[in-house]
Amino acid sequence: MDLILGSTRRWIAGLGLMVAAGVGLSGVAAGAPLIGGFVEAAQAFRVQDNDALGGQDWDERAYPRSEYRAQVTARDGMGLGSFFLRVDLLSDAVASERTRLDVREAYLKLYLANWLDLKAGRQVATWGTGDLIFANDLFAKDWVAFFTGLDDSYLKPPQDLVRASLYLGSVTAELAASPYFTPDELPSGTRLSFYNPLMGTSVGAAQAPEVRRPPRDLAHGELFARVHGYQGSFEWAFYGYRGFWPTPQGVVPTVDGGQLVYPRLTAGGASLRGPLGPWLVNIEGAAYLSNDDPDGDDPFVANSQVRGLAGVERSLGGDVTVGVQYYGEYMLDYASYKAGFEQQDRLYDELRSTLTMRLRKMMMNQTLQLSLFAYWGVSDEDWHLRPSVSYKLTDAVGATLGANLIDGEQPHTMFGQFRDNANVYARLRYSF
Amino acid sequence: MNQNQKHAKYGILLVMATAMAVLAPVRASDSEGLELMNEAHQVYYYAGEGGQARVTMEIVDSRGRTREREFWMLRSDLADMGDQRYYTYFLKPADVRRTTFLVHKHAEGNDDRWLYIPALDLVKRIAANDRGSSFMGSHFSYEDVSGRLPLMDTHQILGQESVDGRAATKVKSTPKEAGTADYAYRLTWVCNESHLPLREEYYGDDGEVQRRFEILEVADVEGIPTAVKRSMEDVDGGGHTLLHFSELSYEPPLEAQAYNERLLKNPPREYTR
Repeated sequence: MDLILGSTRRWIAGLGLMVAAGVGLSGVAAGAPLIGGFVEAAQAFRVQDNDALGGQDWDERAYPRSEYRAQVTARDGMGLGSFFLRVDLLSDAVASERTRLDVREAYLKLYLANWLDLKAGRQVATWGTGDLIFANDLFAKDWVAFFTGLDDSYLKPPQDLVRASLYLGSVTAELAASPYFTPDELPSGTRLSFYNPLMGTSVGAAQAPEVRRPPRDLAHGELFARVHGYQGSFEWAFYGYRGFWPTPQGVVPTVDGGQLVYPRLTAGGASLRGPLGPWLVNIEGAAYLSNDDPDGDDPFVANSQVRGLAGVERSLGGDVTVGVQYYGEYMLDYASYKAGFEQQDRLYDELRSTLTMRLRKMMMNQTLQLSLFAYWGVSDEDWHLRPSVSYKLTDAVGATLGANLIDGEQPHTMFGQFRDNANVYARLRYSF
Repeated sequence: MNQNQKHAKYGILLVMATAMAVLAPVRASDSEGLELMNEAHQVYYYAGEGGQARVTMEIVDSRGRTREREFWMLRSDLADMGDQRYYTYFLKPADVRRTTFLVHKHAEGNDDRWLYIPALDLVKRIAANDRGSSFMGSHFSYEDVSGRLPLMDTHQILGQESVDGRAATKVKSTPKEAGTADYAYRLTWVCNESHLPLREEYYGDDGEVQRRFEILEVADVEGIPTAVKRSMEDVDGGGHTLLHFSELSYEPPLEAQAYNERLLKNPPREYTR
């Protein structure tokens, strides 16, 4: 399977390059397409021992990230359409495939009517109102990038989507469809150790559980929907999703232990965002219906949930911004979950609450930025701190120093499972 | 409202009228000052019913290091001296290229602001209670860029004083409510001919100049005198910012209703080069 995915990726990368070359050549003839990008060196260092990652060579254990990355973007427009291409070329000392091409975006935008746009191809998509927390945004996330010091923009991996936007007055209706399911990018045990629920312990690649993705066909695609509008200074939105849990929330027992799978998921929700005095306020709720276990009585499939978040943010003057959010996951049919769960000491609470805080200060004509983002898993008793310092040496060159500090009481929780993976990182980027 | 309250109200008005009559000389100058500052505000922030410009911004810090920003700025007014819509498309520096910025400016109350980050497809709403904070790292504040209503200050005409050979009226403006501005008072030299604020000086509580704004070049754009080169100097901390406007037009580029999420995500192609 991996082989097939790998070759698909190469095929797409090749296609991307051909398009880029074609565009480059045609650009010489006509008005050139707009080219941009950056080169970046990124290095992350572990700041604690990690026994689960034993068995790998020393380099891999010492550095969760060690790479050079060159990104090229190309864009142009003609007639009713425009295209955009973003390709990363990587020299990655930690991955098994050391040199690789990563097509992050390759899409066409078609302005079909003044009330209809179409965006088709590989793209990044985000919606919802949370700041690094998500209730209705069920587009894929890359948690590996997130915990190993890449820029925040890498939290969103690309997805192959056809996205239609309908404009009805000030209301926008969007429908996005993917011919196959794109799960979250989760640790595989090379850069980060993680919790293997089948073994009940933190593991590295050697003991990673077998994860089975839904087949890559139309019957296992994804559908995303949103309706968004304005009411005065407030924005409202309704969301819908049909597809799969973004992380493998199901277990299929097998002779040699089990396999993790992605159960079906249908979700719907709403959000509101706007100013309240000096505060910017957002509130969002979502219902997650676990289609493969609607009554919550299957211990091998995640129960349905209600998720909610609420946040406030404001500027304190002097280029200081502060934000606080609450995020909660309420599990339905909790009694049957509790009854059916073997490891009673690894139970999640019925209501899992998380608090976040963001502090940001910009200095020296905004060339220096100090930032701290903190998660506190109130119910899970775990936490994650993301301090960083960014400095623009010139308009083109920027340096970032930061850390991912993680700890937790238990080995199975969102952040607790990464408690042996604390790291500091440095990035240097030249943009052109 | 009953009869007694009405009488009481008239009584208060009568007292106020008497007081104003006593203070007439100052009051007259005050209302003239407000009128003049309103005109300057109109000419500087509300010329035409909207417009567009390609802006280069040169930020020189206190140690002489220079940063450059370049962006398109689009504006459409909903009403003269009322609410406005602003849209910014960034061309430079490279790491913010394609980023867009949308402002629903409210003549009263906080603005609504959104930033679109294309690499994440993220529409980020920005807390906008900070009118005094820096506009994109420059020495201009958000308030300098979007304007402070003259009604929020009292204005006193100090006399005639030319700026670089241009006849101007010098006005002292003091915030009616302390804490609504980051200056104790402001001096403005309003051009007698164009009504553009040729120079502004912002004073702190200690009576020292903190910041100095100057219009360095005025050009005729579609019959409207326009400040095409402007500077803001941080007298206190050092450093200055130069703004240069080109490809100007006062044709409203878009309808006011178009300034929404669709525009954030789909910049009109003519501005993306």
